[in-house]
Amino acid sequence: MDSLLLALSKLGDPATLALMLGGTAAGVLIGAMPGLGSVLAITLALPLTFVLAPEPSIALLLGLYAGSVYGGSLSAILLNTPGTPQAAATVFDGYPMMQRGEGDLALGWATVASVIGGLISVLVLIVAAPTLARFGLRFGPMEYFALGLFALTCVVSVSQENLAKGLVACLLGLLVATMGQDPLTGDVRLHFSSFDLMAGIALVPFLVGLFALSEVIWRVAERHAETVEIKGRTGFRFPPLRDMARRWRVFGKSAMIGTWIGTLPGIGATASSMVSYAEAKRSSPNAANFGKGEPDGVIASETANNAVTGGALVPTLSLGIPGDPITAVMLGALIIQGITPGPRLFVENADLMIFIFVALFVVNLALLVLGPLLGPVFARAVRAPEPVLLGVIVVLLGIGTFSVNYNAFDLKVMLAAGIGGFLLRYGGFPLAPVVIGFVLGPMIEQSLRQGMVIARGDFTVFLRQPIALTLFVASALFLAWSGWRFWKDWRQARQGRG
Amino acid sequence: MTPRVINLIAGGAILGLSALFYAQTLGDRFADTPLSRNPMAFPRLLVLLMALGGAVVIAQALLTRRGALPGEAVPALNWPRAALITALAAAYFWVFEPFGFLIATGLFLPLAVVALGYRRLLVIVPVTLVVLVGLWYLFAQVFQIRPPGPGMDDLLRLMTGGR
Repeated sequence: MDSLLLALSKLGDPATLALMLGGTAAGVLIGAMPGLGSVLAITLALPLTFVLAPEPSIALLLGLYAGSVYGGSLSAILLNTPGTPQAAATVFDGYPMMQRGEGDLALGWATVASVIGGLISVLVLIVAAPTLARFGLRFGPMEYFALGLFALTCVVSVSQENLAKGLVACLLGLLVATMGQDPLTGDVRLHFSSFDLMAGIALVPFLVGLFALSEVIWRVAERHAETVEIKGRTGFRFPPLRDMARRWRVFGKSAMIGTWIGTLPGIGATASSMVSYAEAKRSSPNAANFGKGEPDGVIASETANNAVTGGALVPTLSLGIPGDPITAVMLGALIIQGITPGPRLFVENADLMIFIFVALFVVNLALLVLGPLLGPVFARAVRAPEPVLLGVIVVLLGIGTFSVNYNAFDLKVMLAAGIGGFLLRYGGFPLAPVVIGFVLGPMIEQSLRQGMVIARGDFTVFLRQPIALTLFVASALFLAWSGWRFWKDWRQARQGRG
Repeated sequence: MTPRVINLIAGGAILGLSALFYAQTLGDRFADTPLSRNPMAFPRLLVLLMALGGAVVIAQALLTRRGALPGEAVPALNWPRAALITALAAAYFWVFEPFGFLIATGLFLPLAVVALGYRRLLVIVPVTLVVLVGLWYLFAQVFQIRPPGPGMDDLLRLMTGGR
């Protein structure tokens, strides 16, 4: 109870509250801009967390996270273009509602669904994260190595069509993380005779460059329409309570699907909203109306994608294993603050955990107020000329990254990561495994080598630990399944030759 | 470029990168160190696996019909525009510290916006001013991290004749 009151009082601090609400509003607007998305929203704010205390930083990041996931629905409904991939399924019924002159009501359904999905996922997070963390307390280096490997396997397996490219991307992230000082012996390695590289590649410039700067270059290079026009009513209307109550099954089922998928590494909100949409379509009495402006379709997609926010934080906070790039960046932000997510966090920093739960709860509630306010603002913001927007983003990236260490070398790292990220995208290499490999790299290497020291160099000892063995088997199965799928695609492509 | 050419170049680049990193792990400084304490052992393992991945990407390009798996497509990009924004960003980051935030940003932002095809000065000038003043104030006064180079306070002092 004391922790809850403490969390509320910290959240009540005007600066923290302003950052949280400002972050949520900014997240909604960035999420609504087609192509920008949640990762960009969070990476843009990452440098700012250096100058803030842990609580305001976390409040800001959570606001950006939930806000940007919700924001994708605005452009999905108003423009027929999902602002984020997570909102792709919202287009199917949201835009037909808009064409029918019910765009305001579609926004209302999307807002209510996002809030309900987010709140249910926070409740699951509150119950599941401490339980998983208690289980995680049994983990030693061997189990952590197996867990890290499992997370990477999941991310690689589901990342994109080409398994080989996913694996290479993941290895690249791991390799870049090894540059600089060896975490066990302190020896300097892979520095290419550069004094600056002896300290290794810092998290902020690497992530900001890889995601945000490469996104700017990509958007400039992409050929698309210069201006966007919204056709139809752009107001906001809450759905009647009676209608909401009638659809409780869709809300509940979609929230559970979203939360469950969110806890699994690598799958993410896009898949969750698609699965939830398909399930709602299968089981809805209004199945025939799906795709023609059925509110159940908007509810299924939006409830599920916002429910992922709480679900994805379960393994991130309790085991220190991020499931997607967004939580990987958030994990990085916590590490910057000197907080190491994992089982011990619940023992050593219980107050902070309670703060995270409360903040995420409040952020989701705030969407209920910000949604109606920001819908019309978005209609104006989307008309902002893209060259101006992208120019301002580059300036933000520059000053933000430079300010972290007051070091111009970080700007060079960001630029290199940005060009690298752009080329990787062009080559069809997914970026998510790079960043998760980079964030998990030190933990994986350290736990492998510590385990080897304990096992006196005998790797078979790893296989005699039940938890580690289970995770190794799960990783092998996942990889075998992906390998089989990869082989099937390859054979299909080869057969097409004749 | 066709998917086959892209995959061949990508595979070759991965092999080249692997070779570059592998060269960094060579040397006999840790030759007698056990694997668990050898700082080069883990990177070397990663490099070898990455080279293997690069070889698979090349093999795939050579053995499949289009040189790519189904679903892999080549995005249509405007390369000169990509090169332009990259060059502008590089120049901006290069002069960020020596010129200072205000001068570097004051030059970069309008130039980048115009170079990307937007020419309305009535928008560009106020946006540039708001970004300059707003960000400088946010970092220097709120976060207490003074951006490099002369600041708004110096400009004010200059304008008021040092008072």
